[in-house]
Amino acid sequence: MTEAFSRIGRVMGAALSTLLLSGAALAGDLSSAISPTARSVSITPGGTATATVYATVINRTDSALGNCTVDMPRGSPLDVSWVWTNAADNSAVPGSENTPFSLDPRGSRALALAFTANDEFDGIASPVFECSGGANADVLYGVNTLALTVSETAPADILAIGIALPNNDGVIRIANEGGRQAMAVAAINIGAADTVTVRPVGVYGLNDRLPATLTICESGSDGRCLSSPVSELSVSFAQSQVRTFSVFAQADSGIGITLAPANTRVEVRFLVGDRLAAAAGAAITAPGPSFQTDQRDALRLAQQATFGPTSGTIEEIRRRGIEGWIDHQLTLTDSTYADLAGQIVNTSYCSGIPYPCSRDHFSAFPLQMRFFENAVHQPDQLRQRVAFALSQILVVSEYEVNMNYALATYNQMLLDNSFGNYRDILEGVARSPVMGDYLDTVNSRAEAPAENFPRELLQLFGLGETLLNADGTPVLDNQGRGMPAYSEQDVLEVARALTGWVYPTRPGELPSPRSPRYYDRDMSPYPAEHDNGPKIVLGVGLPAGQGADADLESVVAAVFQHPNVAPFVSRQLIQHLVMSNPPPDYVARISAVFENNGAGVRGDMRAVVRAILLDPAARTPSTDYETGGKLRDPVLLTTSVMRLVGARTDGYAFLRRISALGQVPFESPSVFNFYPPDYALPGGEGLQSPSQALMNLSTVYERHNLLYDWTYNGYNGRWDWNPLGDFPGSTGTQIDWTPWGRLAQTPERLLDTLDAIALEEDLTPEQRAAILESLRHRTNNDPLVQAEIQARQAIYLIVTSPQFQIDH
Amino acid sequence: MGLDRREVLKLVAGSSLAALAPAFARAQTVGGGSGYRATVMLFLYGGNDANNMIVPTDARHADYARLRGDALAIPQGSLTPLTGTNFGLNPAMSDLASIWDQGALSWVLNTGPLLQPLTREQYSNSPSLRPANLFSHDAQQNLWQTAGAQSELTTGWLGRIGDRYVDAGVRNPSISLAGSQRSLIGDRNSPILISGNNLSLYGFSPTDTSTRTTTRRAAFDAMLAGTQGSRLADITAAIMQGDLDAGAVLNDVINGSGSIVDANFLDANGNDVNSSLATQLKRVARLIEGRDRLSATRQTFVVSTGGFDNHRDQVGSAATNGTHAGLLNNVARCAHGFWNVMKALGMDADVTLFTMSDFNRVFEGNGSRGSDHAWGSHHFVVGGGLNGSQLLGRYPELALGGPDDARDDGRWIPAVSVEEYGGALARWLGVSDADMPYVFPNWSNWNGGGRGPIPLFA
Repeated sequence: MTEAFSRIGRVMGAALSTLLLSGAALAGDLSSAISPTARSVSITPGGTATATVYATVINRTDSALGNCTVDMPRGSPLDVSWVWTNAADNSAVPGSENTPFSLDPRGSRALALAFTANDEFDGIASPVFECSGGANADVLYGVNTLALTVSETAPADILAIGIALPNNDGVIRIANEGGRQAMAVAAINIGAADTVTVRPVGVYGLNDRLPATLTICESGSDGRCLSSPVSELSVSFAQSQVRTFSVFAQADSGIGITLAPANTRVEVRFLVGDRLAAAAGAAITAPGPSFQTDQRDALRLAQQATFGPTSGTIEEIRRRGIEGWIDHQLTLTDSTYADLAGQIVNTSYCSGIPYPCSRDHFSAFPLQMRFFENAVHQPDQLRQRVAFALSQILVVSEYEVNMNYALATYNQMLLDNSFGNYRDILEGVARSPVMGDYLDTVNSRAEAPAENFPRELLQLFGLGETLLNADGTPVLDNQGRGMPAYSEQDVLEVARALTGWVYPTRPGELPSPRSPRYYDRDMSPYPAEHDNGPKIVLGVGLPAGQGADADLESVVAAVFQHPNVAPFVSRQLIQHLVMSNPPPDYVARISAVFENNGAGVRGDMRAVVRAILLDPAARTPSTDYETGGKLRDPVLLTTSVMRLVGARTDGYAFLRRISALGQVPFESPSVFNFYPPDYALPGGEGLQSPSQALMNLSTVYERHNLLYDWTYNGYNGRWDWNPLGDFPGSTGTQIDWTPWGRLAQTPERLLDTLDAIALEEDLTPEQRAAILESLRHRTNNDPLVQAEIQARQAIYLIVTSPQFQIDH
Repeated sequence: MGLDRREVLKLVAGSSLAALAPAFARAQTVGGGSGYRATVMLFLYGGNDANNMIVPTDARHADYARLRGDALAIPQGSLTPLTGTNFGLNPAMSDLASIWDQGALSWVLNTGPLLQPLTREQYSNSPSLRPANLFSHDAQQNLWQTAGAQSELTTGWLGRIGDRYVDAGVRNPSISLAGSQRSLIGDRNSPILISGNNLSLYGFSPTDTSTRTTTRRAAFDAMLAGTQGSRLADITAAIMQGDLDAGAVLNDVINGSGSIVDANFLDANGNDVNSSLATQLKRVARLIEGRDRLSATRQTFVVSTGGFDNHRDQVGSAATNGTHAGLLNNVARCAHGFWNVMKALGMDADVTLFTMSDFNRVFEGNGSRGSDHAWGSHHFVVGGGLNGSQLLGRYPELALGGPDDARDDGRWIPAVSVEEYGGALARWLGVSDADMPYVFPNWSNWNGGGRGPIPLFA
């Protein structure tokens, strides 16, 4: 066995313990490190193969530890043996083979390890370092694990034999924001000659890209590049040849890289084909700009303005600042339904065509798929949130208008106008054949004016039932009673004014009450059925004979100018974005912006949305106990979980599950949306909690069970994540849990991360202890599998908690 | 500033958690006899066209047919006779005639929200006497459920009956199978809402006592027990906790084996009934079957069915078929199925089912083979405790612009108020004279002077 060690002893440097000093392992009583972290060796059939590496074990306690050993986890096909080495020259200590060692307080022991295999192997070996009393070292991927290939074909066996850094502490320390730092790597091929790809790779947290550009060159003995640095090299590696490389890390500007040695690293990978032959790595850190926005406020803004905070979103908000991020969002237009709106078919299109024709054209399904895909992935999060709020105020539903292109057309109008003007939204709604079909304006005739849309225009889309003060509180008469915002006569007058509209005319046709259902562009006027008499709407006179088009304009203007609109719309937008019980002074400030954006414009949604998010009530560091809080509705709850964990999804998973929670977008049971804005929280003494209307005995269970399935039980390939075979482009849902597993190798750090990006840092010590205790009992023979399932369990416990389900 | 957890639990006392706390045996102090009683409110969402539910078969039928128009009017010969009366039922509702013949069904004619007794002249000249926001769906749903007439009340009259039960220590787990319903919300109690079948937590089998599972449950409970950052969140977390506790008990009642409900939920022809409403009523029946496990002595349930807002094409090729007839057929068969189960359980005299809806529809058809929003409506009540086979209230005079019409197209001014209709049920549930003003804030307008609870019960 000493023989085997001596084979690499000559070429290994002594830079091993420096890796440990960078604080890679924080939990556990021991720290350990292995170098190199990848080996490839050959095996003859029936024979035994050995791969040797160096290791260092450090006692992190202030007590001496004895009877320390190294072993493989139960069930591993590999065996490991060890020998003590002299730290100075890596030479083996005679007679120390497999001899237990002791560690002084804060002391260390240098070892060489020999892994033996009796068969081919391709995987991660994770030896267990343990001393008496149960002291052990956490498994950290790439720090104390070995990527081992044992193959019958003689492989190239590259050993990364040295890393050189200015501080010699195993950390690439970039001095300035956006600065650059080089790292030298030496490697030797002690196996067969082969062509080797050398690639620097950034390892960075949870599914995000390391914010640095990595390049590599081969260098000469003086350290100079032999050619310009590139993203990867392909080199012919002869047997026993030593080559040196320089890796350059160029940090992105505007963002810092926090030192987190297990999770934020630069790895140089030596690949033979797809096989990892060797790897050497170092932690990386870089200073960022000094963030003006703290983590907690960034998280709150992400809750208010996106479909769920992610580590990337929070970092972006901190980088841009609150106002900068909002203003950037106001420019984005990534999401679209325009292509779906363009798929115009006639009402008998699917006759004789088998399923899924009906699903794709006569249901909201394609639109709903797109909605969820956009919500999880598209950058224009704020636009989507506002459009989603509008779709729940100005409701149309698949229940009555089932054609997909129609619903897509309507919702594209809301997306387009999310940062436009509320007057244009009201007019778009009034002229829309989708709304016209939904609430019967289409074919409303002078002799029988339809009251449906007129009533909801006043009650739900514009004014509300009672007269409001600018702060959203009701105006009371001298007996303390509310006063109606409009009269029954107003409903009748609006109904008369909105007579004489038919479906849009198709090319080559004339407007007609017999026109088939058709939703491209606006409704067409049909003068013969318009009531041409004079009307009085909300006190505004509409002269006789001005025609359907002018009457519609007048109605929209009369509603839009009514003083109720500003508080009525502003308060609901606040409820959708920020909090369920906005204090009246908050509503008043937003109403004032709605009345006048500062440039004399009324109804400027861009200004209103901006003001809602920048208001002190939204940005206060600690929410007011009495008025704060907003229960995530089913859409926001499920999208936020998928975004948190970094899922890739086509949206189908949501549609398989969310109806049990009572909120399928674009399928409201009625024009009154899924929940009323004034739903009273039971026992809340006047508190409103709109989405509480969807919480009941059953849905409390359904919410839990869905979150359980998607996290704790979130293995790829589960039934509701599979793609939909007959839907073009369907990819299903996948979650890469590897980064979470890497994080969970230090359970404390996993909880720190989750607390910071999911819970506004309000995990209590008791909760933290209970979660850690539960993770301790979630074990698996494979430490990497164990880390992933522990990560999923921790995430499950976080996302099912009230802290996560209710925004502060 | 935080909220003590016990305080939160007190706030939601009477909600799911408190309702199912370990049974306590306090003397029943709310009057009205002993044993178990329950009401089941069936809400017909969208505004049911009751004008086509019960129709005069005498000379008035000609007025009916003329005013409704050819599209909507049901021919005299098609109506299912209502024994001993001059009325017939929509043939889609023939199942109700069978219950009527057994003496266990009554009709309440032209009932709806009113502030006080109201004439056409008063309606026209004194807008201040009108109920708030007539003809509007959610406003009128709220008035029916809250009995507020002109006030926006946040609690419902069934919920306020529940408050009195809470005050008296009577076990009253009110349950909605129809989502959140203002009718059941009280100041001191709120309903358990059941919308699906699944009341078990994934990942926590009761028989799994491994450390791996118990530590996970302990962590789950620790997360649930934490103090939240807002009063809203503290109360919401307490409700979640209460629902999880209640679900453990209810799951077995609703999904366990050994129930006779499904086998007896049959229409008048002996056929199974399957619909969303049937599912809700079967669950109500199971909860009544399992009443002892909930330690319930007085219960109020809500079920609902929707689709009644038919501004156009409410009828099919004839007035006796199409959308509205289909909806009524389901309602009648479900009512029959439920009645049949109650008989099988021996609970028919202790359980009363009654209907409500947003409003009736305009008597005059609207030219689109549909009808628009109106006001006073007809409703039916089923139960073995009724003084059955009665027509209560007064059928409106069929004249547009006539004395019963609020406008000129047949929007009936109710002859019976929500208070008089609901009051009869409240009294049957044991609400005392002294408590009626609490349950119905406008009770003074309906108490005496020839007004008061209609004589529904024997």
